[in-house]
Amino acid sequence: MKEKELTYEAAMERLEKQAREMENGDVAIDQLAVKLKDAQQLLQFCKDKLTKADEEVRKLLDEQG
Amino acid sequence: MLESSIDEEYWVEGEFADASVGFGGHFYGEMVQKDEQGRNIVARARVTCWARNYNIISLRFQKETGETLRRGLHVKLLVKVTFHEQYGYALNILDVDSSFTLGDMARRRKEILAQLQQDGIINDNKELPLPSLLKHIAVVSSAGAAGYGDFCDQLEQNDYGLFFHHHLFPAVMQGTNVEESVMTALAAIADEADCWDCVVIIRGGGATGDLSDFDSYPLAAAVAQMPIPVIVGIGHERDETVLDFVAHVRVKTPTAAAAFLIDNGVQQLSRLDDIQNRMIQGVSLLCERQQRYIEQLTVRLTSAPSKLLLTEQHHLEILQNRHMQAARFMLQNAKLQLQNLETRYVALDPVLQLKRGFSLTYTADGQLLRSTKDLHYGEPLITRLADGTVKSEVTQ
Repeated sequence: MKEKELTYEAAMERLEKQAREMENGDVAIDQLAVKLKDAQQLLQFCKDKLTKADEEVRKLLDEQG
Repeated sequence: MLESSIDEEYWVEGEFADASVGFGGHFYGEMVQKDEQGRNIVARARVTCWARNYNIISLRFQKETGETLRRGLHVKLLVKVTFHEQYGYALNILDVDSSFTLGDMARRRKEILAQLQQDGIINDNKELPLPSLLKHIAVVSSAGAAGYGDFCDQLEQNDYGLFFHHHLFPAVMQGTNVEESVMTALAAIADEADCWDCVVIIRGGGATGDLSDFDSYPLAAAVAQMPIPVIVGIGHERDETVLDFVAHVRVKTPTAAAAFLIDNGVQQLSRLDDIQNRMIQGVSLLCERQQRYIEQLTVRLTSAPSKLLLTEQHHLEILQNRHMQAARFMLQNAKLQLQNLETRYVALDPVLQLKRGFSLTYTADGQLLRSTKDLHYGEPLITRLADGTVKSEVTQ
């Protein structure tokens, strides 16, 4: 089964949750690096959503252009 | 002759069944009064307004109501009855009451809103959640309008590097076709609603067209029932349309609509920054706490053995003291014993007894004489004194 595409809202939710966990110190030190890497990827994903064209949109525009 | 007989000025209320500006800038129109149901015309009159006066009152009217003197508009006019042999009788417009038209438009809007309320759809669009990400924008506007161009420019040249994908669904934004045209565009968007984050309905900036074209129940109902949030930017500086009441977001101008979208994106960016900062702070806090914990552990770990040593040392000291005391006691005891022995030994020393005057007497065979019983007459005896021996004989 194809994994459902991550939405901006879902990414934001995950980020909020992780930020809360880190603020509350609910993260095991061993997990910190993994969590941070995950957060970094999510942040980049959200920033890209805001500032870059989606691949499918780009394709559409290319087809039209 | 007739003119002189009806010289007075009258206020008349009605609807323009026809209205146009003719050659020379004069205004010509027809005014009608309809029955209670608004279906049948019960009175009709030709109206005119000379260019000079029309320029003054139409400008003022437009400024005050945002409307032009057009067909379909309800107005209250100050008129004077005139008669021309060639054109017949007409009402010459001297003035127009802006507040009457404003009131009429407000009443109409109120009726539409009441109907929307009654149908339970007035808040449908407003209650839709506004997506955090407003990126794919379906625009309803007229392609050539300056306002649409401004909207696109502003979106594309935003200072924050935000990307928007906007697509125009062209519609007539002025005149009697507004309702049908905008509704067609909305229907097309609704068909592919999952491709769009929101709809933006904008009208050319600075257009002074008739706002009341948007005061339509079917149009308002269509906006209210759009499956995605609608942003309207068709309002007027002072005035509003029913769409402003049903749309998710209402703004004044197309640029304001673009500003809203950009602002939303900027808020999202700052939200991301905020999350990032919170995480950094959280991590440093976590590390600090862990560091403190390690320090505490270190202190505990280092202090524990030294405490242990100290106790042990103390224990040793006590033991040492006990040993010392015991030794001292034993020595003293031994010394006393020795002294005792010495005293006893001194008391037993025979040399000492001899010096004191005691003597030891032996028989000739060397036996120590202890009793007189074994002695015989003439038996030689040897007596030992302190400083030598004496030989003697038993004579008695």
